[in-house]
Amino acid sequence: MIMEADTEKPGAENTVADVKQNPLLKIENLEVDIPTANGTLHAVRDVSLTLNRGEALGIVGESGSGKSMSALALLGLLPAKAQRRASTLRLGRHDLLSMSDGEIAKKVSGDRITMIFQEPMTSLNPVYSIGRQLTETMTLHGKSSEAQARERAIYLLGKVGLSAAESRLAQYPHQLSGGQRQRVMIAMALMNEPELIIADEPTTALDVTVQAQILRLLGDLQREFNMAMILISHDLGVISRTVDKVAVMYAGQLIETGTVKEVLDQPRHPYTRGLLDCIPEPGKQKSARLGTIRGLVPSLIGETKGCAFANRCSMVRDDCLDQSPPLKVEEGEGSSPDHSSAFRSFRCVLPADWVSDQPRPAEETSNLVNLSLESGVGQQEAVPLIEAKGVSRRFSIRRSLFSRTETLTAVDDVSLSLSKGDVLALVGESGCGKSTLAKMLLGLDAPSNGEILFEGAPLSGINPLERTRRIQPVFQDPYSSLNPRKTIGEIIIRPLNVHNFGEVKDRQKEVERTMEMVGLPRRLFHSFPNQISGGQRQRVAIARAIIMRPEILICDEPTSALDVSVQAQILNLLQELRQELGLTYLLITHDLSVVEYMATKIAVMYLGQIVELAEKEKIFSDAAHPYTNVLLQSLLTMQPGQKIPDTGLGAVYSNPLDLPKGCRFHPRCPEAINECRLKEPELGSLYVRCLRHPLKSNDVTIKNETNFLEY
Amino acid sequence: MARVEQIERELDGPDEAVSSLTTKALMRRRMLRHKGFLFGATVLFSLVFLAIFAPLIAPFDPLDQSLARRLLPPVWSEGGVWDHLLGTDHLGRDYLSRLLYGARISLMVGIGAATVGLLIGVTLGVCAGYFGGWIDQVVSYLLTCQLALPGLLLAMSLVFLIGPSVFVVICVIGVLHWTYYLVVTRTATMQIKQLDYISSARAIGSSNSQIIFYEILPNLLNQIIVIFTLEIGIAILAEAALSFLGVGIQAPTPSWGLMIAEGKTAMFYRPWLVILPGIAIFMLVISTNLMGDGLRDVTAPENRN
Repeated sequence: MIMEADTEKPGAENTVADVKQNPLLKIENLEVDIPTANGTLHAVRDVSLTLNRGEALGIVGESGSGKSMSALALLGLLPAKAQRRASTLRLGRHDLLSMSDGEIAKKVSGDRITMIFQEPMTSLNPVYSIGRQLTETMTLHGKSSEAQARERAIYLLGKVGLSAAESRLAQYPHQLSGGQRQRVMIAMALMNEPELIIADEPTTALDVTVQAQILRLLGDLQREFNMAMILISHDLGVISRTVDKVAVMYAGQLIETGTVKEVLDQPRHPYTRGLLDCIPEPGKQKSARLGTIRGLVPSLIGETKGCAFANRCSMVRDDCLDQSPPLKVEEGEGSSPDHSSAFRSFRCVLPADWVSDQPRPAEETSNLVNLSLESGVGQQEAVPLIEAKGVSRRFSIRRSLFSRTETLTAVDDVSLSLSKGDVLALVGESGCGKSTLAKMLLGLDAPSNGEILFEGAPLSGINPLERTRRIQPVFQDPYSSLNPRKTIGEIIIRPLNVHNFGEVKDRQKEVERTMEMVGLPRRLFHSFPNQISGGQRQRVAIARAIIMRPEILICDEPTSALDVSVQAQILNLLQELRQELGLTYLLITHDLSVVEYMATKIAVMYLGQIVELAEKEKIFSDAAHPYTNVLLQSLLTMQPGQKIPDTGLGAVYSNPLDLPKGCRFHPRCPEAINECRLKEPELGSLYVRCLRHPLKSNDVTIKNETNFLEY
Repeated sequence: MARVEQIERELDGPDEAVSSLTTKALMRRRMLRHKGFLFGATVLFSLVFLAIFAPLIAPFDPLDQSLARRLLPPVWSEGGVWDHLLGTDHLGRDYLSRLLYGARISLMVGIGAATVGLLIGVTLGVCAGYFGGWIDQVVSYLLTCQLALPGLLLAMSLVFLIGPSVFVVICVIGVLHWTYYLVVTRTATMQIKQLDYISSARAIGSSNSQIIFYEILPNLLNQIIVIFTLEIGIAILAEAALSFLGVGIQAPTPSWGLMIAEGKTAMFYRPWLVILPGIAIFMLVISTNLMGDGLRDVTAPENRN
């Protein structure tokens, strides 16, 4: 392993010499302006940061806060017309300020600074092999020969946890799964031994289980190669587990910086505090509404006066409106005697200790005070509202005209029931059949086997209009669930028109009443969907779903396309509506913290089967199935400084077209025993589909390959 | 604290910089700023105006022959007379009047044929895109066949077989020009069909026809209008070509294509006979094309954030 020695040496030398005198990355007063048709957009305003070798910095903020722009400014990847200004912009020996974008691209980016993008599906070029894309990054900078680059590529692919690294080089991106592609992206970013690695939402597009693995890997590699890392994320849980220092961005400004413990445990800025309150977290609030931040991120176009957060701040005072508060620097754990690297700072006129004097910021006015999550639960009736009995859905897939037909079993023998007032959360990785099941429950798709009963009668036998009046969906993406050609009013009134409900003039009133119920101002009645924000769009989608007063709402990832603060508003709304209208929810999600906040029962799905179904408390306190346990461990709650646990989850994805024998989960199961390979477990009386339940500790677990195998 | 209170009030509903202009007003503003669109629309609407009021504007009956005054040049060249501003043709008919009446034929054929094509193409395209399966396969097969046919030859033989008249020309050209509509609407429908608002519509109990007419067609409108204007230009050219070849509009009805055909024998010593209807066709087609392009520019940027 000559390569290994080669790669680690320079990094080690650098640290000893440089760290003491000057930081690796020094940004002072960075500004990015983008001219637009409506005026100049100040995307980044007065951002100053320092970062040492071996340190990881997290940048947090909502969409449009300038997180990505700040990173792109370092790489010279800003949009064509954007202007970058700064008083210092320095990476090691390179003065980025005096370089043009072209020079940065040539000398720095891809070499000294590398970037990992969000979407692993699109950031690799589908027509070139993995090997070519990996070696190209190295040979392009003219530093090594083809052979050396190849050797390093193999070494790094092994490092990022891809097995059979040498044969991987000939593979193409479509042959890899999303997690594997992101691993390749990480290997690619490491090819040139960069000093700084920027990861822009590197796991947002991945499943939670894979997210935990990738973040763990990223953290390990960052420490091993002693690189600096900037992790950009909107997810405070992710940030709390992976970085040393945090910078919170709002409206293009840094509003708070500090070590991860300081910022997340003792937030100084009202915005940081608000963000923290928005996050549903296990054990944090049992019966309260989630905190929300009112209003929306201000427009960054034109000059602003006063504090950027003033219009949403619950602590706003008159002087906040006059001048932008300066960044107050404070001595903290993370600060060094040298002033330049003092890190604890915040941009607010309030004294540092305001938090301790103040109660939680006043909540949004609501006609529902003291909402209790527990009410409405447990009214067990004789006949469940909706029930799936042994439901399966199979699709025939024929790849080409002449190949044989294969059967894909998307949902396999699923039984579940919802009683009035239940909130059943359906949890699982993407592709496990959640959405197919939801479609069948909505009546939009018919099961191949088994049946769905609505109040004891087969769903397929119910008149479609009657069925649609009683079961309604809310979809994930509020951008595609509203017809762009129709006004908000037209969209919400549509169900009434289709069903020919009541008098025409009463319908209009009903729309207004429903809009008020979901918190939509009446003036939006004639607006088009592209004129309102994402959160408002989701409110419109909810209004459309509830206007006929259905009994069941099937919500497919209702908040995953929204920002944290907006997510909290929508979750609160769903809770309120549940109380007010006595709704029953089927909530499909991958986000266990949302589940914890909303659900009364949880069903965990894996490869088309329900592997565990139980009350929420039972799952969170005493999960029986190993897969449920893995999911729970992968949930990155906010615990500053805590490392991401190793879930022990095997990385072999089973091909749904060719399911493994025995238990479906055994190739990835950390608890699998020999018997699991042979016998398929039945759903036990406790609704757990596992042979090892109840667990007997004397069984010898088989060693699963935790590396990625070919599939 | 007064200003703080004001902010509180503004925050009643989550608000965003909602544009004060309605979509229609925005569209109007964009149209008025688009030079190509303005030019196209102005020329096209003037031609439409002239065509409609041709009987009032035209100085002579376009069919009135006067062999004594045949082949007069336009007024600005030597030997021109003010009575016949654009001269006369080989039978002594007033060329200006014939051009004005010819505009009626061209526009009628253009708009008529483009409408026939629209009905065929959009129906097939939306059905193929929405229902998929064997319907899509049949429609795609039809499309392949249509694209393999030599259009003008087929049009010639069809008109020849059925017998030429304005109505037949409109139908034949229309029946042969629906492929653009089909290709565009089929793909767009397939894309729209995937979107959640179609699932939502289905989930509120909308029928297939309600979904097609209420949810899908309004979203195709922009594209259809753009193709429609472009197809008008194509149909006008096709009519001119058919008439030129003698199987389109029949003499003595004034048609620009026919006028060029009639003028070609005298082309070398009376070039105006060919140039004038040529300019007319060019202006009409370019104005419809510019308007079509402009409409696409004005309506397409559906600024989805």
